[in-house]
Amino acid sequence: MFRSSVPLRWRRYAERYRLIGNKCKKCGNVHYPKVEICEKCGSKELEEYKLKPYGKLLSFSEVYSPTEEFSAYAPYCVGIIQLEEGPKILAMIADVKKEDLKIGMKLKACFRKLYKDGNNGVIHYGLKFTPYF
Amino acid sequence: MKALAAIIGIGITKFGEHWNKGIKELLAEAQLKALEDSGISEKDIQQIYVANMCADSLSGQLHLGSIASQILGINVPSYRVEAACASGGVAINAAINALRHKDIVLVSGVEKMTDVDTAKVTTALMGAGNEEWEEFHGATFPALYALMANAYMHEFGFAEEKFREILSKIAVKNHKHASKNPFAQFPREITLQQANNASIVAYPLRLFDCSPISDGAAALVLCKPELAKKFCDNPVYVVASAVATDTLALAERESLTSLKATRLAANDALNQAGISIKDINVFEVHDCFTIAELIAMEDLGIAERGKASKLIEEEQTYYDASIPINPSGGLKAFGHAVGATGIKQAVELTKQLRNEAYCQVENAEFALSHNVGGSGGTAAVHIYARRLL
Repeated sequence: MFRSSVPLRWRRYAERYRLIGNKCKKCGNVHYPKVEICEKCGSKELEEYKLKPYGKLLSFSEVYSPTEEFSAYAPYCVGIIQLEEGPKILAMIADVKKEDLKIGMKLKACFRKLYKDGNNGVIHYGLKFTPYF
Repeated sequence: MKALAAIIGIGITKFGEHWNKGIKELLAEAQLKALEDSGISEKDIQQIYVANMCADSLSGQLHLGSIASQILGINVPSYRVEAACASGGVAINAAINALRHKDIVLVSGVEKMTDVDTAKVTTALMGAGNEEWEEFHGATFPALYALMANAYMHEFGFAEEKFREILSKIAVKNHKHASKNPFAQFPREITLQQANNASIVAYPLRLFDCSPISDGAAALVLCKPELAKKFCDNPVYVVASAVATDTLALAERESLTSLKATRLAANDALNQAGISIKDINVFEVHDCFTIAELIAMEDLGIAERGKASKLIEEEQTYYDASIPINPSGGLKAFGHAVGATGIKQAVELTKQLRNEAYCQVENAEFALSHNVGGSGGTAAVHIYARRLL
C-alpha cells in the first residue's frame, strides 16, 4: 500500500490536528483546508490561521461499504460540518449513533485514531466530531 | 446552428461482467464496431482519444493511448484522457477540439473493474474525490452522494419515507428502460418494494440507488461536419460541447444539493447550440446514484430547484413520456464502466437520433448528454442534433 507512506500524512499534521487553515489579509475570509487564492476576493495574500473546533452538522451518512482502509470500522458515520468561522469540512462523527444525529446539531472536534495500515503499519490520527450541549 | 463535429460511427460492448475480456479486448470490440459502422478504414483515423479512469489502480496498466492505436494497427497521436467518471465526456470535448486540425478522430472509452473485490474498487473510485480530505476521513463515493441526498431531503423538507419512494422510482424507471436494452448490465425490471427494502450502502442510499461495478467500452468516429455526408447518410451532429470544473471536495462547494459544474456546462452548451432546455427531446444524465439524477434535472434546468421529484412522481421521465431521461437504462441499470460512460451516452443518443434505440423516443431532434466526474469536480455536457436546421 503506497499510501501508508509516512511523509504523505506527516506534512498535513498541523493542518489536520490543530485545524490550521488560512485567512485572507485583505477581506478576512477564512479557509480550511488552505487555499492559494482567496475564494471571496481573489487576493493571494493569505496568512495561517487556527480555526475554532466548533461547528454544526450540515449533512450525515452512515457508511456500510467502506474503502479498504476503513473495512474494520463499518458501519460508521461521516458528516459535513460547517465550522463557526465558515469553512465546511468532511469528518467522521464519533461517540453517537446515527439515530441520534440531527442536521443542524452542534458538534466539536476531538482527536481520534482514524485507521491503521495493517498490524505492522502506521496508525493514522485526525479529527472527528462529536456532539456537545 | 453550427455543428462542431459529426458522429459517423458508433460502437459499444455490453456492459457487465466480462470475465474473459481484458482492457484490450473490450476496447478492441468497441473501436472495431465503430469503424465498421462508419465504413471508413482504420488508416483514415488521424488521432485518438481514449477515456479511462482506473486502469492503473485496478489493472496496473497505464499508457492506454498506445493500446488504442495498436488495436487498429496505426501509429497516430493517441491520448489517454482522465477526469474520473467524466473521462468520456471530457475525451469527446478534446476530440472535438482536435477536429480543428484533423478531419477524422476516434474517441473511445474503457473500464475493466470486475477483476478485483468491491473494497478495492471502492478505494480506486475514491481517487475521484479528495484523497487527503475525504477518503482519509472515511468517505466513499456512495457516502458523498448520500451526504447530498440527506442535505437535499432536509433542505427541501421531504419526509424520509416519501423521499425514499422518489429515489426508488428513479431506479425502477431506469431498470424498466434497461430491460429492453440487450447491451445493458441489468436488462431486467425491479419493483418499488425491492428498491425500498434493499440493503443500505451509505444511509440514506440503498443498493438500488447505486450504479454497479461494470466492465465495458464504447467508441465514436467523429469527423468535420462538412465531410460527414461523404462517409454516411445518417450522421448525427454535435452542436455543443461544454466542460466545466469545480472544487475537488464536496464540502468546499457553495452548495451540497446542486452541482455548479453542471450548471455552468449546461448554460455554456445551450448557448453554443442557441436553443433552450425545453427544445431537448431526450436526455442521458449522469445517474451514478439516484439522487444524482434528481439533482441533474434541476441543474440542467429541466425542473426548478427542489421540484424535480414532481416529474418523477408523475412518471414524466419515462422514454414514452414528456421528458425522456436515461432511455438507455442510465448508469444505474445500463451499467457504469466509468471511463466508457461518457462515450456510451453519446452512442445511445446517436441511436436515438438515428431511430435505432431500444427505448426509442419518437421524433427526437435534439439530445443532451450530461457526464459528471467525482461528486461534481467536473461536468461535461454535449448536445446532439438529428439534422442541421
